[in-house]
Amino acid sequence: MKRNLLSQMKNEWRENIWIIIELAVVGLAIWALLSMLFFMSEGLFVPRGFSPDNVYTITTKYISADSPNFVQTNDSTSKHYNDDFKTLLGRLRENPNVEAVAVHWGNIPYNYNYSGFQLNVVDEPDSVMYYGNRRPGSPDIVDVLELNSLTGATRQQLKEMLARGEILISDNEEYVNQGRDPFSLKGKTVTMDNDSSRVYRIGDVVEKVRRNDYEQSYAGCIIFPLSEDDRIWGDIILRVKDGKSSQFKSDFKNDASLRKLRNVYLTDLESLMDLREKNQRSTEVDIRLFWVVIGFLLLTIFLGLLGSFWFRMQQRVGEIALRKVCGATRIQIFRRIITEGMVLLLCAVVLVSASVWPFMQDVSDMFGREWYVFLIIEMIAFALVAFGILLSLWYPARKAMSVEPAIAIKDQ
Amino acid sequence: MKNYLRQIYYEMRHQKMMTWVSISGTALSIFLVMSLFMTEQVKTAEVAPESNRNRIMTGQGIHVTSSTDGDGSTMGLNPNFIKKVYGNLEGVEKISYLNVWNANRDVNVKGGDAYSMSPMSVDNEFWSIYDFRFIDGRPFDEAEVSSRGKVAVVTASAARTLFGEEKVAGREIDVDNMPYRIVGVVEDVNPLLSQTYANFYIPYLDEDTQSNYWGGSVVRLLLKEGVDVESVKAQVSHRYQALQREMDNESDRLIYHGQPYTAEEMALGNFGSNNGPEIDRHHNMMMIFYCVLIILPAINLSSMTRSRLRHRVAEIGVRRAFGAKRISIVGQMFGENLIITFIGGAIGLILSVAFIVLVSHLFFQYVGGFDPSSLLVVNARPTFNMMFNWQNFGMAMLFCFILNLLSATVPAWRASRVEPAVALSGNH
Repeated sequence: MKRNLLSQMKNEWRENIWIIIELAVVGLAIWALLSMLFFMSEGLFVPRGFSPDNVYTITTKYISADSPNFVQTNDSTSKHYNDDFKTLLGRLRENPNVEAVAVHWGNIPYNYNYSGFQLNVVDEPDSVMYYGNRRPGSPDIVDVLELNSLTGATRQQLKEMLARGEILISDNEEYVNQGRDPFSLKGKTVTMDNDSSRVYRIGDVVEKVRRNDYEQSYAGCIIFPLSEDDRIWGDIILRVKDGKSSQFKSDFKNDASLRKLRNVYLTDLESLMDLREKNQRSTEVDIRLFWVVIGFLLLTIFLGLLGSFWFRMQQRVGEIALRKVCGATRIQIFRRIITEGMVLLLCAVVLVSASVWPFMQDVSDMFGREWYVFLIIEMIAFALVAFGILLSLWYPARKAMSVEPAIAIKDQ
Repeated sequence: MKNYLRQIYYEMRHQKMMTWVSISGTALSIFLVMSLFMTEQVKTAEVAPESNRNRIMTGQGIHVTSSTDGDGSTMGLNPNFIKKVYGNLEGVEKISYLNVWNANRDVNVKGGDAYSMSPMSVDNEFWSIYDFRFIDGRPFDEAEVSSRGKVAVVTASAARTLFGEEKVAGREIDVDNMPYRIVGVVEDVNPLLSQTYANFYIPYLDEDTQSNYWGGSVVRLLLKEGVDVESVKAQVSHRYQALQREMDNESDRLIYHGQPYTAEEMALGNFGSNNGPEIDRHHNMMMIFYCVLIILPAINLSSMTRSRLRHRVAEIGVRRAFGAKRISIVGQMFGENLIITFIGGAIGLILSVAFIVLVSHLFFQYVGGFDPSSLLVVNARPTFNMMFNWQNFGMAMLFCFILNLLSATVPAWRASRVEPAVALSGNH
């Protein structure tokens, strides 16, 4: 039976070769696309180091002295700007819908600013340095972003560290890959970018705050303390109590005292989720597009095999009827057709594997992934193709199963 | 011809599955190819106010590597440097200066709610390079720009938001707490037209800076009709070479990445101040996409066509026996197949237009850039007139023809080569 199937497939070799080439091209393309999709989406399965829900950003603006709206004051401009800004921060904190309010310098999640800094341990010269994206924030940034310690410290303790002027660092794959342990830096005194005029103590190691959900940064993240005791400037990021977003937005819109004090005003209330949508759009569009292309390729296989096998079934009605007369069951007929499709797929898998695997070491090095990752993705890719084949053969196979022997071979 | 059509109709009715698969395959292929083609076209479509889009070039930022100060680059230039590089170029009809950074501003009517709106700072020539339609008032003039006048042109939607009506020329607004007088109201601009999109326009500020090169300005050049963009690029290249020779330190480099950029290069959006757009690479990628989208379905359709023609070998034998030439048989098969291809192509074209208008923003990133100003910009969709022109029909027909050529020629030629005696014997 099996030999008979192979002989029959050999007789159709011209058409089968085209099908095998098509399956190989499509399988290879799906393999490549799935690999890229996997590498792009890997970040989604890693903790992002913060929680974006219920978080809002607000821009701080100042009315300049040349504006007719400028309110004259007895204090110097910079002093009253600062005092009034702090008063507005206090008013936001007093709002019953607000959980925590912090000041930042723009380098927050879903903002692509990258402020790269290196840390050097004082009195311990080392050629390997800790590199990271500096994220300045006042102590309450811990509660706003819900930062998590990797050493078991509570959020309250993290806030106290920032309030004391200590910095928080994250895990850092680059640093680890060079044989260093970021946890060993805890408690050490460091300079930033070799600026010896100021030193900082490293308070703790926290989960890395990534720039977006997809980022796979191997460098670290440095939470840099902004003290509200001194003169402070910056924009505002705040966390609203769960389920209180709309009330807070309404308060902010309707209560002018929350937004403005003399020459300082707060504007552009925007949720971190909206920022996320804006700034991740490009990556998400690419991912959707990849899925569309995979869908197109599977549909191409579906249509191609459906047409080819439909025609074959029509050609082979007599043969199928004879098989039935000789005792073949409906399931055997169905299995034979499906097997034919799977043998074609097997040929395509062999063709693709023989062409690609000799270069797998280079591919593996290029993407920095182990070979078995590609093997698993190859298996998934061809499983998808097999699914497409099953779908496309189902209808012709069903038609073949329902052939009535008496009618089919009446002419003979 | 009538017989051909009747025969095609007969074939379609009696081989329903084959017909369905052929038409679906063609429609799918044309849908994808045309979606891609029209998406590309949206980036360079000439619609108001960017009706001269393909005659406009942009000069912005420069990348400087200095042996003493290290590397540096920015999107904005010093206006004096702009004059040296882009002033009085041959073939350039008009030149317009704009400020490069346009962060959202708070706009309100005195005492009213403030709205965060997207501004654009432009000079008076901007209004002659682009064809805005004024609903009310006028653009600001040279005197107002040079005197740094507090005047503004707002879009119709901004006027409605602020005042509840569109005829608001002469009224006052506050922009970040500074009073501005509205001198004109223009029709809204689609956010996909990123060279002109804003909620309101204020005069350009010509601010000199400490740097020899960097600043806050960019420049738009309107080329004269028929002037080749390459000739303008060549002139700018010569000027950069001359400036390079004037530099004190030989190891310092002025890297300008092939500026000024064309509308298509600007629309690529995949470049910054220290790398340029890779237009050739983009064209090659698109060519690969088109080929894959045409060739894969063509393999399938070729198989379909061969199957359909196998049914008709006896008919072909009769025709050959009565003296029909091979070429006429190939022509007939090709023509019949072309009609089926055109039916599928028409379905694919309609689907692609619907797709682009309704959901393309979910699959294509039209607006490049670092930090889109709002969700409105990110979610912008092309209007029908940004995609629709007769060229699209021509391209769809061309793609259908290529698809047909690839899928029908070989099977038709093979079918025509069957000997009449063999065909009629039934042993083919």
